[in-house]
Amino acid sequence: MLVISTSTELIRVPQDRIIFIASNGNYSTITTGGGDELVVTYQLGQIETLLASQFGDDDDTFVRIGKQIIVNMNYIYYINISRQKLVLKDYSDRKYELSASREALKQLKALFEDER
Amino acid sequence: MKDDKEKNNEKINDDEVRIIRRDRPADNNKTKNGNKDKTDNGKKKPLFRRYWFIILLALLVIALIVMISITISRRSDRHTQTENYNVATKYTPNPDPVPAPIRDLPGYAEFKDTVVNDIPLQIITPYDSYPTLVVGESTVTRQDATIVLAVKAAEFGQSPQGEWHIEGDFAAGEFVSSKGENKDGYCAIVDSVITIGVDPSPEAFNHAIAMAGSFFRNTPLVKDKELVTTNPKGKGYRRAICQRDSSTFVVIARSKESFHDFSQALADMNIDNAISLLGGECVSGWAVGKDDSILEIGTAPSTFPEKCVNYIVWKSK
Repeated sequence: MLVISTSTELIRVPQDRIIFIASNGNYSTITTGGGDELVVTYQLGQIETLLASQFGDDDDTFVRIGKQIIVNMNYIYYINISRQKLVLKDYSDRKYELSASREALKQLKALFEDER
Repeated sequence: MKDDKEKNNEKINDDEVRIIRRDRPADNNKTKNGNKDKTDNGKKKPLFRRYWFIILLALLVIALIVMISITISRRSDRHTQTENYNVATKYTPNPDPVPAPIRDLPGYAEFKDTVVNDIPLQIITPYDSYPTLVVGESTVTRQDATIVLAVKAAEFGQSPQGEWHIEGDFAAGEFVSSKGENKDGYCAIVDSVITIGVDPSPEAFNHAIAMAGSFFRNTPLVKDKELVTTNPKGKGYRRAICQRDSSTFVVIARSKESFHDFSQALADMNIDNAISLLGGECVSGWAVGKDDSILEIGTAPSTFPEKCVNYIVWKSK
């Protein structure tokens, strides 16, 4: 459960509901299953710190890809390096198309190939 | 070894990936390791990575069962679902349970869709109304029948000590602050007359305060019909307050655009001066049409601090 707390509010998002998190300057947008979006007043680096501190040592669920996105690896569906395309698919078969650098996608692809 | 915060705040380039973990260092070169059960530093791979396929399959089956049960429970009890998001939607004006107010005032907003340089834009022009600048989400409610157009104005940021503030020079009534980054663009409201300009000097801010007016700063987009090119990169849902001839209106990009492309589109619309408004997908205001139709600006719930949320609001005369 990702817990985000501000001085006046607290938000709990189950880990497996998080599809990806995108940077939006000083804010971050958390996209959860079904395409719901939640804007939080945390920078992506702060969210990364929260994820690292709140989940276990052996939990390889989330991966930071470049400066802009954190994705839940369980939902990675399609990687196309030449077209710089990364597609995530949630349990309801909804697809989320993202883009990343070729080199980052190459490394991401290699991560999965290595685990095969 | 660096601590968690330090490690996770390490710079990352766009051509890098980093698995988010508590203690272990970034591990993005594992493909070089021929041993499938070990990582580069010789440690045995965690259980998840050795049996990820089986675990993933099991998760999928569990998720499928959960989804089916959620679907069934949703049908029988939709109310429970709403409660789950109470915190996140606290500041969202949408779920206002009170019926919409009966409006019998001359003010209204006109919405026009257009496409400039392949960018879909929406132009919102308020009529028979006057502008004000207010602070606080609770001061701008759907029940206020006088509101013709409300849209979030200045950005806000966080100090190294964690304190939230409105970015740059800001004045609205008795609320005056000057913290954080001072953007060059400004919007001043003096005697209900809006002036949009690009000027880093404090002259316009001091004048607005002296005249008991309102003032905020944001990213400049167009100055004297020319686009401003010194803005940050990256794409987002952009919004702007613009002036052309004697008319003031708000322009909203319906797709994610860079500041450069958005500014160019505004310049191509022959706009005299324009500055950015708070952008993004979050709920950022609404407009009321002549037939009382409501145009929502942004839809995602947000958790912005109350003392920083600020709106430029056009109220009916």
